[in-house]
Amino acid sequence: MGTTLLAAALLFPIVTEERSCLDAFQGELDYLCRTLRRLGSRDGDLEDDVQDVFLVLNRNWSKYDPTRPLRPYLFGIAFRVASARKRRHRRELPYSVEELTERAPGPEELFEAQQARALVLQALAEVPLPRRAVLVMHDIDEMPMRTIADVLSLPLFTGYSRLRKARREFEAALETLRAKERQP
Amino acid sequence: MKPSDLEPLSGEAQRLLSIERELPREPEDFRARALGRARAALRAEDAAARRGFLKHRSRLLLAAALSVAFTAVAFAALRQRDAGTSAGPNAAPSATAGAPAMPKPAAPAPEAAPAASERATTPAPSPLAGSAAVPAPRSAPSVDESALELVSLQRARAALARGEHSTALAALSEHQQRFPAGRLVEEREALRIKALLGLGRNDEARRAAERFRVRFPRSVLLPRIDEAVRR
Repeated sequence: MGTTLLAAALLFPIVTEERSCLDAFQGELDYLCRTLRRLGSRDGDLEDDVQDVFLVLNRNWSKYDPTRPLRPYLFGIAFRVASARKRRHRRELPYSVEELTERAPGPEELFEAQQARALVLQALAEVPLPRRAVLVMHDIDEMPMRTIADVLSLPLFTGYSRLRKARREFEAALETLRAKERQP
Repeated sequence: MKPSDLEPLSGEAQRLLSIERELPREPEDFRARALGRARAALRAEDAAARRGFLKHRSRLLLAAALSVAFTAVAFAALRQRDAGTSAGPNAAPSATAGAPAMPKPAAPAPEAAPAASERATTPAPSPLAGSAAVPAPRSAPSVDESALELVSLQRARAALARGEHSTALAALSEHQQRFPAGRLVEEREALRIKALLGLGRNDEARRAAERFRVRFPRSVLLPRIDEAVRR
């Protein structure tokens, strides 16, 4: 009996592989959605982009080393999906108010958090995607540069160089947005 | 450029980014849709794999039989040797080196797949995962153009399934621009003909079918296209 079960389990590893891929996807869905938004996905694109990431994740699941952290790996896929989308629609449109307002608004004291997040998304949109990716991974996801360089296939030097530029661009964008807010 | 040369972010930027770092939870309806789509894709893939399984039945049965025999022998031997310690599952890796590889269906069966399935069955002769150049064994995915070509096409297929023929045509034009010589050209052209028929542009569809016949005379998609255009 045990041998039969073992044989059965060995013959159909695909089923267990796919289930764990779906589990991983489900577990990191919030991270994935937010990452895609940071990389420029809009409300209209988000569902398709999320599905695209899943399809690629699933297709490559057997190659993924589960001892390595999942988020950097997911980020890499999300970045490629976002880059592919950018190649199709060259210009990123400015955000609409609806897009920046979170769909599940929380209590009053979280209003400031909503505002902060909206500001961050708008400022990030001013940073070109290849540099933005480094900024997000390093300064938001707090991943080490070694990991970033690995995921984005960059030399370490280039990673730091992009981060430096991206930080400047991000700060400049924040200043501009703040200035606009202050205008009557 | 050393890390020490890096200018730190301003206090304000750091404050904002730390707020951004906290992930909001996506609404339940969105989560449900996302997971539903993912599951649907897996089911479609399973169905395709089963069709491929039946096709290569004899080859797989041989591999399966060998795996079972090998495993049974290994398991029995280990059990004999270590009474009490269950080493069964650990014997698995060497025995199943060949087993997990279920060959994907070689012949395209996209027209046979009902419209309800959102996931494209893989018509590409060499599977997208693995055969294309994977430069380095990194944790980064081997996402190459082929993978993106497939997801781009499946969006068109999904639109077609929803009856949104114009959307499907737009997606197909986009696909053509991005992947003019991609591996899924046959599939794309077949979908284009279907979309044209759906929009009632029958003459265009017939011309496209003729071009298809010239371009892909031995395509397995041809009979279905002929049938659709005749109607």
